[in-house]
Amino acid sequence: MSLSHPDLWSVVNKQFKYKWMSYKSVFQGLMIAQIIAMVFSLFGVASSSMGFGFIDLNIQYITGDFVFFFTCLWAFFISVALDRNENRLADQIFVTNSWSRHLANVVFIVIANMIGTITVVTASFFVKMIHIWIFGIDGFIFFGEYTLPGMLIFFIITFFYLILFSSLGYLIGSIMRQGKLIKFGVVLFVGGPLIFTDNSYLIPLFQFFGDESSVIWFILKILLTSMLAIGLTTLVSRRLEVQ
Amino acid sequence: MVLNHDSSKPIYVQIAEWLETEILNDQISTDEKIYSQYQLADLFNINPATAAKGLNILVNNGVLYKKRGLGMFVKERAKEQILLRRKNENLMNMVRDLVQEADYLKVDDEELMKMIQQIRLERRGES
Amino acid sequence: MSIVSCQHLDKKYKKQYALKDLTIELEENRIIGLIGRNGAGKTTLLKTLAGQIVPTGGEVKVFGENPFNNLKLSANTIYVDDQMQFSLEMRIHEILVAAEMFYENWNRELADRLIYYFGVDRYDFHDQLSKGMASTFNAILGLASRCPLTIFDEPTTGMDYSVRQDFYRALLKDYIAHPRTIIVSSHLLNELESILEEIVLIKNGKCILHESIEDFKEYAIGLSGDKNVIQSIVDHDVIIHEKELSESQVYIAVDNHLSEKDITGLKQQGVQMTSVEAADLSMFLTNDTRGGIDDVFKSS
Repeated sequence: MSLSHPDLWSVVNKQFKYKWMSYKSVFQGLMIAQIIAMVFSLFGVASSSMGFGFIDLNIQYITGDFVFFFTCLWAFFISVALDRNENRLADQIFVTNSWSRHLANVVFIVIANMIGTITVVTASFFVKMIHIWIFGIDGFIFFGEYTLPGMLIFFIITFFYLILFSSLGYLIGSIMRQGKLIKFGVVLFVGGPLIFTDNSYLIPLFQFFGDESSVIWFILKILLTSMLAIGLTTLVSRRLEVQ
Repeated sequence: MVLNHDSSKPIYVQIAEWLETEILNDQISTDEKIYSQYQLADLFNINPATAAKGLNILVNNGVLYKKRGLGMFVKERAKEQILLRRKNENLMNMVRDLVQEADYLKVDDEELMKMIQQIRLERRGES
Repeated sequence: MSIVSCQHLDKKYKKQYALKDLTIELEENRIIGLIGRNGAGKTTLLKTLAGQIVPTGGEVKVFGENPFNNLKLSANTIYVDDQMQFSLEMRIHEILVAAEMFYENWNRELADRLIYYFGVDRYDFHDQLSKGMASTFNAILGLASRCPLTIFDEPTTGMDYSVRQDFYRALLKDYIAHPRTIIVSSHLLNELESILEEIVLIKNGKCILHESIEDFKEYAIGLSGDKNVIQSIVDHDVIIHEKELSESQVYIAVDNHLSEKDITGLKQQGVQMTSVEAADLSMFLTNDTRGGIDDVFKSS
């Protein structure tokens, strides 16, 4: 029987289609996250007394609502889970190696985040409409985004932020899978401060991206960070067996 | 035919004997193509290599001949070959066992011959 | 051409060896049975060949290459067992679509016919299938993918007797039509042996025997009769298995290398000779228990 000689990109393409069929719940998750966020934004914006520490600060920087923040969380957590053991096992049934798997995951992240971005833009528009409908126009609502260039920038910035969260999630997920002790360490040193401190130490990190006034530089910064994170992931998970 | 997997006779020997019976019963005649190892494998639910081993016995015994790329065919005078070999080997072995048992039970030649004749008579009566 | 080559393969988990100094060569386009008791290392070996496990020592080559993380190997190999974990979100018909996409030799007609014959519901999720049905589906996947190296690790777990028979028959028929290398592991040989060309016995992580199935069936001979007679003639080293039948009578299985003289001697003294069935022999050779079960109940 003659052997087949697959090329990497055709396998990546097939694996992406396979993942698309396998992870439908990812988009159910997106819908749920955004519905919760929309409910939050409607009442949260009205009361303006939500105590989210640094997050509050950044939300106002960018879109002014919770939909964006919840979608970032979604992007983070789907990426943490994307390369988890169950999924690797499912990949392994068919044709794969670690390169094709990571590349297919990256393609999946990019496409999923595009969909995430579109829904963020529409949902935040929707939230504002409802807000006006309920509360009438007041001075706090910013409509500058809804010009064509404004929309484009909103779209680009949202998308790249999602990419940033996803790639960090992907890296943290792969580190956590290196062993039980490491997993515990990650939860302790990453999760602990997030819950028990005011997270002010994260402000410089977000300022690094958020304060960037040039869109080009912003994109470059995020792309470099993401590539670094994904590069580290492939390095970390290089010799990992699926069990 | 169903193979007897519990028999002490190896499967490939059973295959060879089945083919011999087919030839003796004129199911396959001289210079006719015999079953391929794959047909036999399918027929008896065995590995083709086992079937090939059965066929090879018949090649070695001068019952079959190979034509390159075409398969195996029944040799001229294959029937005589089969009968001769069965008589010299199988039947002789059986007789040897028979005589051994007769000696053990102290049955003398005359009595043994009578027993054989008796059985032959019975068989003729049946048919 | 040798399709699989393992040289002094080791796989160590923490303190325990799953494979220890395992050496084996497998030729292509054969059906090979891998027989060993649970925990002998069958799964570790097969997963190493499928590129899912990295050995800790020795060398493994499949299609002449290191199998781990190897795309070419992956495209030409399928590994089937009863632990296959598909996405919980895919229905059977979607899994079939995926399989067709990945495997170049995939035969849709064969898959569909087998799915219909065995009554697998195409609209079920994989984890909703009963254990036997899941095994059947996995086996269908293994057959229809027609990979040059097809590995079935204990494929019949949970299948009914008739389904097992049908599966092995389907395996043989498809192999005849499309010869390829098929490795089937099992802790039981009897239902499998007629379709095998070769047998590999594995015990404590080592390959202890690799023979054609026909040679294996003639590998040993069973002797039953008087204990003293047998012990006086048969060398202790060649005894594979021993079982007391009564105070004075014993059954032993020995290497089939007795001399004509010994055989005549044994026969004359009323020792009965029988062939040893392949299934029994594989059990004797891979047995790891101490003595026999009867010894447990013997009063000391």
